[in-house]
Amino acid sequence: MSALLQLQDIEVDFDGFKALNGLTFAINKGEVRFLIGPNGAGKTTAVDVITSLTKPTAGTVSFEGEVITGKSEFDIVKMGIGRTFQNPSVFDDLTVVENIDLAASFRMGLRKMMRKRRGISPEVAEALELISMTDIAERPAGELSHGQRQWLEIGMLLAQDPKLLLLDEPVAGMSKPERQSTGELLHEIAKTRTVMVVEHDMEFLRQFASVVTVMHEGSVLCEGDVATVQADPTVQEVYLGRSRVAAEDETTVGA
Amino acid sequence: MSPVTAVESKRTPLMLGRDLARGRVGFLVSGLCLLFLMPALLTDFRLDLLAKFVCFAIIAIGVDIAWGYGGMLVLGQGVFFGLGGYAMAMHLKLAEAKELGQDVPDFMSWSGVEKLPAIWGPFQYGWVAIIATVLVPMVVAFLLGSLVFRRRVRGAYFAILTQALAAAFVILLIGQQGLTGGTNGLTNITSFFGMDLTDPGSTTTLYTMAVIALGVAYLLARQLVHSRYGRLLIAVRDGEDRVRFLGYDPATVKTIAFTFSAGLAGLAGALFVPIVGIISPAMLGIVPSIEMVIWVALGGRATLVGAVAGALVVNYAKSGLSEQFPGAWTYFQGALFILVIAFIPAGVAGGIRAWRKRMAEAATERQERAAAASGYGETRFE
Amino acid sequence: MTTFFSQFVAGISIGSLLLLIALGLTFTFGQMNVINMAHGEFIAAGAYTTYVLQTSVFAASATGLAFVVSLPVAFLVAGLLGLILERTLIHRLYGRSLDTLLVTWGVSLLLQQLYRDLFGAPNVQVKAPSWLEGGFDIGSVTISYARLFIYGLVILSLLAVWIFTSKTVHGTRMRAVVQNRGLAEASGIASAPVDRTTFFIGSGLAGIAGVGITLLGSIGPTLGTSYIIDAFLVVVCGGLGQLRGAVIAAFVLGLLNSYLELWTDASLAKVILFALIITFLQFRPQGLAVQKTRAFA
Repeated sequence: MSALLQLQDIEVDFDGFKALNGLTFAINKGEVRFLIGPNGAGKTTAVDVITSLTKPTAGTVSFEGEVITGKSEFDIVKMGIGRTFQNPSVFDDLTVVENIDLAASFRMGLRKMMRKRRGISPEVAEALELISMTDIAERPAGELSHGQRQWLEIGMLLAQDPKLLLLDEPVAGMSKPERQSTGELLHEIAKTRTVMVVEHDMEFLRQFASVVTVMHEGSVLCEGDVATVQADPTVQEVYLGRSRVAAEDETTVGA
Repeated sequence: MSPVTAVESKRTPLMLGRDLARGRVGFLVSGLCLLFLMPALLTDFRLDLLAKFVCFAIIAIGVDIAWGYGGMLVLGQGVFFGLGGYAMAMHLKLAEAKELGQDVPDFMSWSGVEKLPAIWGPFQYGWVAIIATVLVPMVVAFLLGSLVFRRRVRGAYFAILTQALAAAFVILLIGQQGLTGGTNGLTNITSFFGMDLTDPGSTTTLYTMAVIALGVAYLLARQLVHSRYGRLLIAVRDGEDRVRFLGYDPATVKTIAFTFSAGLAGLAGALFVPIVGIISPAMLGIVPSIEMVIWVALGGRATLVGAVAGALVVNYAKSGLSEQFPGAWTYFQGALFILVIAFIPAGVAGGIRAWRKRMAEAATERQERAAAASGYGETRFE
Repeated sequence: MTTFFSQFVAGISIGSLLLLIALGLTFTFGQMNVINMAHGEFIAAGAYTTYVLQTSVFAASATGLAFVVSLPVAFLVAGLLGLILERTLIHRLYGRSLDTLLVTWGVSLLLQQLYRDLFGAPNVQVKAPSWLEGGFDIGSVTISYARLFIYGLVILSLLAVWIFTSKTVHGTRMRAVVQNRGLAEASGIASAPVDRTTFFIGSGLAGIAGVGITLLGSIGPTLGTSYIIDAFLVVVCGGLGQLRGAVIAAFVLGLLNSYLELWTDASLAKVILFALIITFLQFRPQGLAVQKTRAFA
């Protein structure tokens, strides 16, 4: 069986700094994949490469067997890969429901786009329900709290109905109860979808990951289920001996 | 949870209905006022002036769509206005020459051109000219837009390119004396599709046409703004890069808005020519183009009513002030730019809207507090 | 062949003036995201400084001295104008790039009208110093001393800017702020004084360009407008805040303009130039000099 997503020998060079260096891994359908690693390991860059925000200097990304490297960001979305951002970037001047509705409407023809939205479509209503924002659907997104904005991002992603969801640090900056409910949301989402999560939070990972990929200095250090990864000596070394490496990494790449 | 939902869903359609009603009534009242009251009240001279301002208001709607809603600072709308104006004027000059039994318009024979240049040929036909007034600006904007937006040239880069386009266009018009009438432009336009423009009665007709065109432009723009596309346009303005990850190509979204705005400017140009009787490079260069932006800035970007009102008010003030103190007007205009943009960036309409919203919020809060006091709807969102 | 060389000479001198003007723009744009439309009026301020020094301060016999003195004075006058603009208006507008364009356009209108009221609407003539009259011949082409002086002026200014940005502490801070304002501030660089200095120097350079322009013809209240757009196109083509890009773009645009005018006529030249720039941007949408970074706005 071929993988849903395959990264092959990806290399990204930021003016001499190799952010990704021969990154190769694959995600199968139905997985909840966690991508972890110290700061500067290249996790977000990997997500950026998959979604074409960053063009790799070498290597290929394929999705459902088709090479997608070099395609535009929106074409990749149209193929069925969606993502969220570390800093939630929702549209402040639009209401919650308008944000989600836009995310749900990208397959719509121009003629239909030129018409006014009448009511709330079922997929938008479902996304609103999943992120518990039905009550505040008409509120401008600019009035939401940080945690709510992150949820709105996830809601927008759900409304896109992608085959593969890429979540970039979905619980960063959240309080403990917020993390808990986000985890439950994630659990709910993962039942029917393939998800890749970039995350630091180990607790979070233990609870929800099915497969974990550990990255270090731009390539894969090891891969496996949570127990295997935790037992791996090299992983321990990277995380324990982190202080030295991290100091270097953080000066070269601002997260 | 359910009480809040009930309150929300009951209130929203009601408010929406009221808003719509107010919008429609406002539109009808101001439309009727402009159509019937103004011609009765104003002298022909003043009405002629107002007709001119109405044309400017059509441009302002376009600027608002591109800049206010789409975030594209267009500093070259004069080009599209000019293309529309020249297309119309070329036909009117040709019709006049035909009437007089001449091969070429008067200004051409003055500069020694005796054979009609090829580019003028199609403009013998009125319908070609009428279509061209809107279509040519749209095609130019479409080409420029698809080229630059696709390459992600935006923000200040785009603004400067449009300004450079205005500069180049004016230099071209002035340089091609025999083809365009040079600095003087196309002047002495005295008849419009069989209507004698020197006849005072023509003023009301032209004015009525302009007002109707403004109404149509307003309704089109309103539809655009309230559609899903309109929401998308705002999204592109506020986060073009993010929109790509929603599966849309911002270049297409922007090109559509830019092209639409160019079409409106062209339409305004076509109406402007018979009203004023002349079109010249001085009316569409860098300075007039940027003035078009200040109308919208003052009235309130991202509000259509604001754009229209801004165009009318600024031009009214200009005609009053600059007649009496031309120097003072320049100072005034400069100060207006600085004050509005730096200190009230939302413009007058935006200011009013924010104030109204605050009032509405205060009212909602009072309601909620009253509801909470009566032990109702205790659910509050964190 | 003769015309080829004489157009070359003219193109280079326009290009070098454009470069001097564009330098200030590219720094303020690159560092602060400010598009200063009043920059053109700073050029005029430099030119009028020369005029005032010649007519009101120095004796008629001392035109040459007045001209030399006007160089530093014009730098100060234009620089101070820039500083005042930055302090009163622009620092309120950081982060609102397009709005700075509109506000400074308003300032430019005010200044133009001020010049009209102070010096009159018609153009005035600045006398070139006697030692800049005439020129020398290379083959059949005459290179005037005035043009030669402009070349020298621009080269010296460029050298000074280069030394300033690459060798001084302030220059290092400036480059740090250009590359990453947040990080620079976090590293203890107070960005406000850096911004002020950049604005002062950038505007001052426009003043010096203004002095140079007096050698090419008469000056008027709207002198700046004819240069500002071309200078901005240099910034667009050169890439933000990049000295190297600006140098190349300025000379290429200056020469292209000069040769296109020769090949067609002045009015078509501008349109062709515009088309060429759009074409160029298809290949290099960020201009000549781009830095690759990981960034998502």
